[in-house]
Amino acid sequence: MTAISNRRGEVACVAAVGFMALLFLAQAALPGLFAGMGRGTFMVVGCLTKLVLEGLGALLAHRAAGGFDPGTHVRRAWRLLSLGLLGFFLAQLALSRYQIARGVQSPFPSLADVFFVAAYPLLIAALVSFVKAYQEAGFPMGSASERWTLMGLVLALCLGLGYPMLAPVAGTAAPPLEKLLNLAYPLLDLALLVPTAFLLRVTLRLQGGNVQRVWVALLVGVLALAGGDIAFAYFSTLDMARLEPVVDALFIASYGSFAWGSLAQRNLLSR
Amino acid sequence: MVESNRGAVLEAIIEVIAPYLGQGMARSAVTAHAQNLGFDGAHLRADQIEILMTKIGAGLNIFVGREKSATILAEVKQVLAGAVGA
Repeated sequence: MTAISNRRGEVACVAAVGFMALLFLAQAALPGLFAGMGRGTFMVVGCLTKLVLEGLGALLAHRAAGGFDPGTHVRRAWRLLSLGLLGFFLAQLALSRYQIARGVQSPFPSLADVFFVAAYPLLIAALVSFVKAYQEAGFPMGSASERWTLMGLVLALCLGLGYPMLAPVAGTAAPPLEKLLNLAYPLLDLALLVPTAFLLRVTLRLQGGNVQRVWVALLVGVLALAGGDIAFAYFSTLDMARLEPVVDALFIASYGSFAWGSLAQRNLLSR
Repeated sequence: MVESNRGAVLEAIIEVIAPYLGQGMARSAVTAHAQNLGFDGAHLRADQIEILMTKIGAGLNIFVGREKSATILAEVKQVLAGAVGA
């Protein structure tokens, strides 16, 4: 496969994901425009889209891992990312029993949450392994005090954003397990943001390089995931069902970005 | 022993790896590796260039894998041979 056709595959992936995410945003912003289609159609389309992107992401990340030397942090990072995306895929598969097979909203919590919750430590471990790989490679990471300052800033940001966002969720009368999960997902996302901040620093310094798009895609994936979880916690707890397509759009953007990043890495390895 | 101008060697390496890492990262990575190795004189010997390239190759591995990294380093060697006669 040539470099040009490789790049076309990435462009097609980004365009398809962008289109689907915009479609769901449009449904939230202009519900009248899609009145004839109904929420059920969007639920099936959203579920299928997420299944495809999660499965594709897991497969491509697994293949990307195979391009790196055994025993290295970077290979471990791609493997863990692949397993994390596989966790999302299995969770989505559990949801599809309701959303596709029966055409009804899935219950929350459900079996899917077992896989969703299991996927997060894998994603966090993947990002930490990426940071370790970068450090190990001897690239400039800034002084120890700069790194501690960055970590302090991220933690302060997480606390500053997390408390006002999650306090209303914690204060609702939802069942304990539902409330616990609605708090756990955003908190796991905030934990994801710590290694993400270090990787963001690396990514900004790669400006103009071919490898930058891999890291941009992965970071967009993490940020959209965090946005999706926070929006889900808000909309489900505060009963704002009309805005659920926004959650779908964010998750589609997230899984699509992970798939794009994995594809871009695979292309870089094979080119 | 044959020695090459340090600045010219570093610039040649930066030129080849910049399309992958970007100009800023390529420059800071190559400069940092040279400094960490203590290669801060005006000239570099062939063995020092080899050590520097091994370090840079290890760094490239995490972004593009070993095979692609070896290809890039081969390109660096070609450029160095033409530019500074290393």
